[in-house]
Amino acid sequence: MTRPDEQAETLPWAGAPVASQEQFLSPEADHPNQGKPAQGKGKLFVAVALIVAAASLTWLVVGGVEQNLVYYLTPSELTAKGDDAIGANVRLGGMVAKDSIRWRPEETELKFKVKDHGAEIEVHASSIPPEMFREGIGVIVEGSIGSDGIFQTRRLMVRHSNEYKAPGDQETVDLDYMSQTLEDNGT
Amino acid sequence: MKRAFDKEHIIGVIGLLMLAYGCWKALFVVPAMNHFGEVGRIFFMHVPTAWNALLILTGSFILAIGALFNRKPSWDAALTGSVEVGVLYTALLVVQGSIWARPTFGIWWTWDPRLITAAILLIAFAGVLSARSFANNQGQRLRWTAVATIVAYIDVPIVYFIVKWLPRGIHQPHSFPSTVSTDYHLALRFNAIAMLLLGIWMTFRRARWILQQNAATAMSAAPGAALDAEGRTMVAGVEE
Repeated sequence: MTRPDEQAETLPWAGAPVASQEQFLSPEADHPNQGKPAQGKGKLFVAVALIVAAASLTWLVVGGVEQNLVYYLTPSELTAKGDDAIGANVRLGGMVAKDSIRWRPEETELKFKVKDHGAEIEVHASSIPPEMFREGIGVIVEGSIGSDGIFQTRRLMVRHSNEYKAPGDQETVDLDYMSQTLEDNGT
Repeated sequence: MKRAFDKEHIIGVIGLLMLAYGCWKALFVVPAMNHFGEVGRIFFMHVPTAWNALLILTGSFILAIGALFNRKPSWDAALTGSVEVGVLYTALLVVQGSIWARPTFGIWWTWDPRLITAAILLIAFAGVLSARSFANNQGQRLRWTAVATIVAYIDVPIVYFIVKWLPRGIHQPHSFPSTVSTDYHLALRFNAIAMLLLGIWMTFRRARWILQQNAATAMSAAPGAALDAEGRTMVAGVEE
């Protein structure tokens, strides 16, 4: 068996130098387990790691709780809220209705309808849609509904299915299945 | 002194070869996906990364329970190695997901349940490694690492099942062989096995390094000292 100190000396990335005479004679040598080499560097790392962890957790909690457990409302739910929903910041999720997309690239003006089985809501966006955006695909839009019943969105997201198919391969999961997964809420 | 050949390198080499083949298939052989186009090819890395991140952290969980019972430094080293690989894979997972989400969903990040729980997973297991660095001695280090791993592991099944429990999110539900073209199965499976082999290889390498560091620390503390069964420094058979 190789002696451990021989091995350690060959490791360029081992930060702590192997026992020097000074170290051995230093007061820490009496408490070898408390007197870790490179203590100062280690402490700084731990402090930074803790701050990062605490900041990330706060960010997660604040960011995550602000929105409640329901990630988005369906068109039916938003319609059912009636006037209460006007002006409130919500996410709306549903399918892009057939023949409803009007896209004017010169003004980056996008209008379409989001629907589920019960309702349909007109959505106006002023951004370039993601490439996957098309009729019949799932979308989630962030914004608010006005008193005119038009949902103004600042953020348009596409929600695709769990299908990964090659061209020419039959697509087996139909849009009904997809709208079902859009409307289910764990029940 | 001639260095001995560590046998785990065989696993690593097989893993690299399989990954090379899987990626070559995924990038140059199989046709681009419907609707996704070329960007969809990140699927061949993202899905294997996800599977293996959860699988390797499950391995960490088992090692943590074992380490609490047998208190062996070698189990502590293997546990820590596997948590490090788990953190690496989870970090890759979140980054790949974000890169794929930009052209596909249209956003880099959103507060979707799957995305949140995956981010928590990354932070929790990074926290395990951080907790470990606080410990004063080997025995304590083993206990803290093992207990923190078991606590952090709670999030693993949550990450997996959240798309079922809270299907209202932007992330897709689980994909099955039936929802993926058979053209894609081979490359996907090669990459999945390759990532697993590479994960095992890296775990071994890290475990070996941790054991060497333990030995080096013990030597610097007291030349000629050895570690007892619980990893505490022993000088002439007397526990410090």
